[in-house]
Amino acid sequence: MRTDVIIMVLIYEVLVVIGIGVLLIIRDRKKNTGDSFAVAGRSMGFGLLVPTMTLTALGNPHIVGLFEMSYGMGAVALWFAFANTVHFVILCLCTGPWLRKMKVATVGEALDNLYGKKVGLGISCAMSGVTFGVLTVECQGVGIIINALTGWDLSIAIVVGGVFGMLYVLLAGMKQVGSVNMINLVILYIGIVAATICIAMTLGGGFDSVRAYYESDVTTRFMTNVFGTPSLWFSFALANIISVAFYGPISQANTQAPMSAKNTKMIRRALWIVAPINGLFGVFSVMLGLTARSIPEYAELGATSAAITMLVDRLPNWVCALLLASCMAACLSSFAMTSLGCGTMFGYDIFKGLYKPDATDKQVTLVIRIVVVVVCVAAISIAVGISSIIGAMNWVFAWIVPVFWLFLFGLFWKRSSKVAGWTLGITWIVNCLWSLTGLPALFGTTADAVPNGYVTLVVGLVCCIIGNLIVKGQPGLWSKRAKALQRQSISNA
Amino acid sequence: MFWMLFLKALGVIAVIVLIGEGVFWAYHAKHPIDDGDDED
Repeated sequence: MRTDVIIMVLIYEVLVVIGIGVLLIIRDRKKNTGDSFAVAGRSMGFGLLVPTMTLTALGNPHIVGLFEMSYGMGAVALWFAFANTVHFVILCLCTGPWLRKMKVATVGEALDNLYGKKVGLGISCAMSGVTFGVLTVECQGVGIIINALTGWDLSIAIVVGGVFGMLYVLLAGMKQVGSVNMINLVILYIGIVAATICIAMTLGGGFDSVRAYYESDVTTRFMTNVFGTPSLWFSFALANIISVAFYGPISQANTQAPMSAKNTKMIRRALWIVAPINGLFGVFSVMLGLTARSIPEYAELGATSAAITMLVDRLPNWVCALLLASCMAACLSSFAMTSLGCGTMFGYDIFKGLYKPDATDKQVTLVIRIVVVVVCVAAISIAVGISSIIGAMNWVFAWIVPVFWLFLFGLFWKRSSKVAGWTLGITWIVNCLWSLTGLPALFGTTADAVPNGYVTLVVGLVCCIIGNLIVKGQPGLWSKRAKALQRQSISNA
Repeated sequence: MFWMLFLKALGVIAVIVLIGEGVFWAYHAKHPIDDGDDED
């Protein structure tokens, strides 16, 4: 165990996390800004918006997940990072500005406006479950990193990481996360770049020796190709694009930062910075994963431990401390945003929406804080038992894919709570059957070859289109028909 | 090898972003952007 490294990292995390939190609490007490905790008073500037959006989608799957995936399938793992680029295009140009324009605090609230309370609540409940699933994966990632770099027992490492995650968000909410993210994004990039350079220097011929290793064998030659093999591209790359790109732009954790933005133009502009910063990070992780697999002493440790053990063994102390701080920062940020997403959904959609419509902002904030603690404690206790990280994420994302279609059609075509209810019900049942029964065999395939994201995408779309064609409903909130009706009612008045 | 991966990744990201922006502005060439009362 490297005690000096741990002390340096802990000092960094405590100074940044608690220091900024306390500063913001003191400042906010003077200002007393309404819904500041969950959506930062809808005044988040460009400087905070960019790092928060980037880091929310840059957590455990981008680091430990890509180490694992590149070890097993090679450079094609980069498509997980590219799937996030597609997600940012949709988030920054479509769903982010739309949600900001609707002035809502949760995705459930937006769907409540479109389809009514029952559908909105149903989606909030499902999204809470999905968000909780993501939270446990993020919690595990923090634990794996601390465990690998310190040698502490995994369960202790997860508890330490989880406690920091709670502190990260609990003290001041969205503004805290935004301010800390700005510092963390810089540290994260410095850490991963320094680690990549140091590892390259320890290799005889730099990264060219890694390439030579893979290209010397016909069976591993595809691993240096970003497009991999056709079957890998279909079962991994395209499947990732579908599940990440249709979950991310409508998930509570990822949309919370755009909902807090000062204006919609800012969200659109953010795309040009957020997409490359987030996407290119994957190159460093994939390169390190490929390198670990090419060195026999680490390759024999298996996909999960190879890259991290290589980093711990070969990095000098200061780089190790920087990397631990930055990886923890990235995982903690996603952990914090995800737990804040769970808390916000409960606070606004369930507590204020169902039980106490006249609740003050102070009461809602208290409820959010309590829920953050509860879900973090639950996630910490479950995190120990999770296996493949990216596989788990993709299954979890598939649940929210039909919500994307409902949101899109509800805004621009037609909305009927019956169609929404049936679409969600049918899609979620099919999603379960696809994973838990022999249904894929009826179509001559397997659940691994055709991942759940494809299934929920197609079933959700078909249900929405057929349902809207058959059932009468209200025109979409921003559809031409709704605008024409609005104009007509104004002229009649 | 690192730079090869880096440049390919940059290229793929640029293509995805440009396609997104292209579709967005092509649509909004016919339908003006309505941001509502943008700032609170």
